Amino acid sequence: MNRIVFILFLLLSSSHAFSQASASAKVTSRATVIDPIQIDKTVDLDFGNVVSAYTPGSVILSPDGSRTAQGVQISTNFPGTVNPAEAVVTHGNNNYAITLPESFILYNSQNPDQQLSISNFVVLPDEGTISDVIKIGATLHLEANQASGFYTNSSGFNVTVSYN
Amino acid sequence: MKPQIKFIIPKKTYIMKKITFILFALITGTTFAQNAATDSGTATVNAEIVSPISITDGTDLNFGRIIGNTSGGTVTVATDNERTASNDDLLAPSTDVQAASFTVKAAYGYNYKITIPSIELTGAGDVMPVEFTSSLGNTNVQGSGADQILNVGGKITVNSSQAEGDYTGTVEVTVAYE
Repeated sequence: MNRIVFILFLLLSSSHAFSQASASAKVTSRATVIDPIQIDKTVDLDFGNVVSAYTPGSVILSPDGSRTAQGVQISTNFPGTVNPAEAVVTHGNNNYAITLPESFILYNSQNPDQQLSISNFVVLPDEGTISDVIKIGATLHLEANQASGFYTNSSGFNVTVSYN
Repeated sequence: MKPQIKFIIPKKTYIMKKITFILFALITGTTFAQNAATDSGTATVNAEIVSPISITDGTDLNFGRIIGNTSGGTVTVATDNERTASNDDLLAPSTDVQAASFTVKAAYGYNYKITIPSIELTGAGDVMPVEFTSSLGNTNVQGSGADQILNVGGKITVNSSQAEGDYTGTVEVTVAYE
């Protein structure tokens, strides 16, 4: 090149020329929505008929429905209605925790001063894909010379499930 | 003969046989006009080169597991990765929560702005709007000449009875010199 004409604009004090004045980048934003956990009772807890004794005793009702008596007697001929509690937990294949009560009190329907206590709640889940059937057993404690009658507590005991 | 002046240009040197410079120097408002007589002189030319601003993507923004209950509400992931909600029932435990992160490099002493437009996450159910927050602020962010970590948090609006499933969207962050 023989002739080159340079035209220089030097705008030193007024503004700056940026070769790249802006830039951008992208990432993904994500959220996973799961359905609320749900528990529906299907069967109440029923210890059936128990024969009281002169000494304290207990009846263990397993989640599978079998009964074991200690210190008291249970009749195989007249067992009465025996059911572990049963509920359906809908969890959508997410892990969850079950919270059972420590103890629970039953009152004699004729004489509320007569009470039975229940403790040692035990749960056995039958696991499905999006829901489980949970069966709950417990131990019924009888005092010596426990008065006969029908014992219940209409307020029911609480079983809480929560995602973990 | 054409008049000649000599320039000292830092960084680059031009060596040519015949060069005609027409220089508009707006430094002081002075114009170098063509001299009548043959002459030579020197002038220093100052030019400031500002490095380009850059941003690179890092981690994704993850709101984690949200329970789609009947009331709905908002879930916020702060720029420090902490998750809160307008209604704690929305928050499922045992989940990975993370603010997005980027690396910005801007020239020392130069201010820039950070723009993060709101988006919607799409998935199985109704779209969920998301607004973003920047750990460095949005305007008058001062460049350091070195890498600066930009964390981006967000607030997602969960509709009532939001349908179960995965929802995604793209966060675009733009940085620009002010």
